[in-house]
Amino acid sequence: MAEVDYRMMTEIANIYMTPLVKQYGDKGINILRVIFGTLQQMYKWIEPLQVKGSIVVFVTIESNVQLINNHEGVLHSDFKNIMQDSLTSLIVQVLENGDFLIWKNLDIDVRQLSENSILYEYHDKIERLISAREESHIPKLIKGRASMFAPPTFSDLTEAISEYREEMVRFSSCYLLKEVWYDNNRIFLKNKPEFIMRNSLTNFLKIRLRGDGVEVRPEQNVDESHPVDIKITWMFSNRLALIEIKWLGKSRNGDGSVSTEYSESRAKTGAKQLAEYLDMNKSQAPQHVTKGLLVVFDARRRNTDQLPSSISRVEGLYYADKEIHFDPCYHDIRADFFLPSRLFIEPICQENQ
Amino acid sequence: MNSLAFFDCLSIARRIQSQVGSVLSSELHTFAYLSCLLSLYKGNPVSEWGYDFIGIRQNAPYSQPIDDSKSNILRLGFFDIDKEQYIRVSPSGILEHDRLKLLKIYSRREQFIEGACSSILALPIGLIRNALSKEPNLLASQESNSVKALLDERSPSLVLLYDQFNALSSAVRIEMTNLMIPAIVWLSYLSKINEEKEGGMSNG
Repeated sequence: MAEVDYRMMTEIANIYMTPLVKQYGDKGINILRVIFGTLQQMYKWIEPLQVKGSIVVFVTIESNVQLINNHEGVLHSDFKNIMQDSLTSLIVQVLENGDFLIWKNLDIDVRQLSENSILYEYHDKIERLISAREESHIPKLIKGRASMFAPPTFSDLTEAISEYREEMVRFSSCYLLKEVWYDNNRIFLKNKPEFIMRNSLTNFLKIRLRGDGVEVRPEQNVDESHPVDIKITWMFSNRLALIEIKWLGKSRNGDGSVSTEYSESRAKTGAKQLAEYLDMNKSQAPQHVTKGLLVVFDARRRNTDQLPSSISRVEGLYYADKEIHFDPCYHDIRADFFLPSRLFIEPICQENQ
Repeated sequence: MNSLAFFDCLSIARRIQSQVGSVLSSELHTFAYLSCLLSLYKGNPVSEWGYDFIGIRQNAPYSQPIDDSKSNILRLGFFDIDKEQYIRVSPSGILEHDRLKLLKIYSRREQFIEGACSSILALPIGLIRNALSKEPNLLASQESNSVKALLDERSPSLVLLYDQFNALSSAVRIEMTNLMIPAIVWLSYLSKINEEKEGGMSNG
């Protein structure tokens, strides 16, 4: 059984156990709590990547002491009305009553400011806590995220789909996805497996993308005749993602006959449909930044015309690395199109065949 | 009905709702388990928590008393649930929680629930769930490939958990009532250890 890595535990603890937290104990922790809560509130409205310089949030050890003199801060009760178009820096002092004093585009010495406060600084995707002139870096536990405190975004969706592929789909380990198979060796799908696939992906994304103002909902209509399979709404950032699901492979009826067979062209049809959905959605949700994602569950196996009950590795994994060549490549020619995700589901292969 | 699980459901849902707007059923189990582990971190025996957990699919903790309590709370109208299964505490649920937490038997649990739920301030919920799934007892439950009660006093995984908590306690050093930092540090540790392990596996 694994041993405990004391060094790593201490390194992580030192990030949060800033000098002023050590000195003030629970009072210091409450200040950190206020800072973390403010960051979550702030990043609903402020996109960190759009601020060219630093974002600083601080709370003074003694209540409401004005540490930034000579410059008037503007009093705000929330971040809704902070225009971030031309922000080079943003400094926020959190007051005891929950209001904020905000300075824009002001150059300050954060180390000096940290002498009597606990301070958070974001700059170019790096986040630090500073107090009493000592700084520590907040670990980036999710790759690609500008800030660990920002709500999930488009980059979290692509990361989540990669996780879904590896953790849930590849070996059909998702408990919902286990139900799509006609046979125990995962060679053939059941008739009409698309609803199970949609529910599996919806369920995963709902849990994986949890955050205030993120909604994952199955089968929303772009208009009455053109449903998409999953719609994700990021309320606070006006982002929308529409997910279209297609599957490839052979499905069989209860009596064993083949009900449907889908090849690569099915995925291409899906891409075209999604592009059309996105065009329609532009007129229906013009205030949103919308992107489309085609997810292809790939259960193709080679040489299955005789409906075998077992399959060799050569036949079963033949399509594992066969990428689909889309034409046109919407993901190259349109900014609102994610690179399609092909999720190959492995069969259980007979080693000696 | 287990009254402690009943209280925990209300308390956890209310806290998570204040952070992310609603709570999912699986999160009641996740944060109840994390709260229970923080109680162990503070030196309380497993038996004192008042109800058990088992490990289920995807290395997730599950507690039957929590599930039963959720159903009861819904029936009593203290939770509202929408068609997508997002749960919110109703105004009467808030009053019920406020009433119950005045009682000592429940109020002493608030420290652990607060510590567990405060971790959402610094870590995304998805990451918390993933990190917790790498906790020694849930890992052992997955490896055994059978449904077993978690936190068995005789299991080696509980010994490893206490080893981790000893390291955590030494690393954090100062005594504090607020358990937000121990929770964040330990979950970050589990996440990083797992990241290194997976990095090592994919490189090797």
